[in-house]
Amino acid sequence: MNNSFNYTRFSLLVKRQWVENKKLFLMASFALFGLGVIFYSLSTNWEIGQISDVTRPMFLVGGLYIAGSFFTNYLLKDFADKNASTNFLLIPASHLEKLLSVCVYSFFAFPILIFIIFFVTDYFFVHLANSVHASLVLKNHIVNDKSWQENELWYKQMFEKTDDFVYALIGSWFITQTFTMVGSIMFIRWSYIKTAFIGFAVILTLILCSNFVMGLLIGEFDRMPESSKHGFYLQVKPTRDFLEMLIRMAMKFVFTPILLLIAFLKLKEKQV
Amino acid sequence: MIQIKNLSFDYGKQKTVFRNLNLTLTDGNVYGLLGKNGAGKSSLLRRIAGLLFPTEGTCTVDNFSPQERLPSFLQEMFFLPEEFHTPPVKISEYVNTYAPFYPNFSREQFKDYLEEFQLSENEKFTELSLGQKKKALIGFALSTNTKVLLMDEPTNGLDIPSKSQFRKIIASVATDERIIVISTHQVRDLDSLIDPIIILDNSEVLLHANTEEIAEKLCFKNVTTVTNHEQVLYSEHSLRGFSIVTENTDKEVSKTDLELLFNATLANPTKIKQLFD
Repeated sequence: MNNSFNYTRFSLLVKRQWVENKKLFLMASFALFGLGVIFYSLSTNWEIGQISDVTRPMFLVGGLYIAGSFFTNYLLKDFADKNASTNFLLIPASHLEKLLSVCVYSFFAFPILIFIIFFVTDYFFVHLANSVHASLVLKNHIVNDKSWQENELWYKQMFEKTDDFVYALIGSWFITQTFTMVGSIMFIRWSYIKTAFIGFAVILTLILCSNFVMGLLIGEFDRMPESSKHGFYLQVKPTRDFLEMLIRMAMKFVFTPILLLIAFLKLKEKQV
Repeated sequence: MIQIKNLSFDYGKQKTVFRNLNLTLTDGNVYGLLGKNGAGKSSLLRRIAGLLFPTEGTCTVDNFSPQERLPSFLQEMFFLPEEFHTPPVKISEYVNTYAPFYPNFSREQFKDYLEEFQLSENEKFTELSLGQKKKALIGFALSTNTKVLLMDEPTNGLDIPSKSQFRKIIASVATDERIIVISTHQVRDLDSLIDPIIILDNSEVLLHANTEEIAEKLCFKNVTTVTNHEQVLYSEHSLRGFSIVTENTDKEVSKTDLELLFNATLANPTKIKQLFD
């Protein structure tokens, strides 16, 4: 018997999440859609039919990060209660399967849902705002209104963004999700607040220390290294760009797997 | 078989739950785990289930290390805690979701138990009383047909008819391959069901014996006056005088009274340990 991963057990765990939470998932989806409508309504200048390009992505990013971390915390809500924890830990499935079943909802189902909600809301409001402007043009007999630009669907703009922007967004989002997972498994009470607090503390520390640390690193590397016994010199002089590139690479490929590993180990060590 | 060797467990430095605990539980028995509140009954069950890890020593269940919580171990072990979690779904949905994890789960058996407890599969857990929820979970636990069944205070919250139904059902599912461990402080609820008896107190096992052995070594009787004080291990007032526990030196035949046994063990632990060692 495979004690590490079995597809049947894994799919049963995925089904379990759905059976136990489907009503809440549906209610949350409608709530998010409602929030999107409010957000877009407030971001639109109805007098000229123009949607703010600055605030539109805020809904997507806010939804992904804030609602996403809430959602992940909710998926692991069992750990906030001793009896529910007992039930979850004793389901005959491996820790890996249990963690992956959470990942299915957290990494795949949720972003799909939030993108659908965002693009539907965006599509609806773009067409509404454009039609408002068109009716204004007709009503006031305006010809060639150069002060107004037609609202474009945001997904078109998104694909015009640089790779780095999209990758940074995706990378940091995965980090947020896995960080929330670790916090939700580790803490029993107020796990979301505690995780958020630690998260903000880490971000603040990184921001405050980044200049200092980079200065130190570059300063150290800046010195000429000693010669090797073969008699040639190795000249290494990392620049700020190089270090920033390393951090970006770590954000994309390193932090998420490390945090997932920590979540897995915390789950294995969990006692109730 | 459940084998516990030199097990030590504590909740921080202040509270030691067990120190060098040794215990062997064999297949085909319904063990009664008795002890005062805080004696460590629930902790021991949680340890066997793999929910708590020891600071020292080992615990194996059919050669599995419970703390690894491997699926092959978990599908042969069911733990029903005293306080339990039920999701906000119908009983039928619960069964459809959780039963496939247990290869020996019997739907027919489950239906019979629900019928016995006068519950319907279409009822939602949120609409049931605590006792009804417990009955549904007891039915589920027994239907999993796992080799190891651990129950922590299963009769708490059950009404009087349900307690006798519970005894009847447990007696019917006890097989030679199965180990059932029931922890309780309501010994009368499980009288004539649990055998052997394990009594825990002060981080150690005071008594681990079957009822035959207990009846052989101890005598339980009702007397009007207590005369032979040296031989009396424990006495308490009863309606007809005194209920006493004495050493069974004259090989008398008496029925084991679990409550008297429990009180006698706590009142005279050294003597009881000597008798059963």
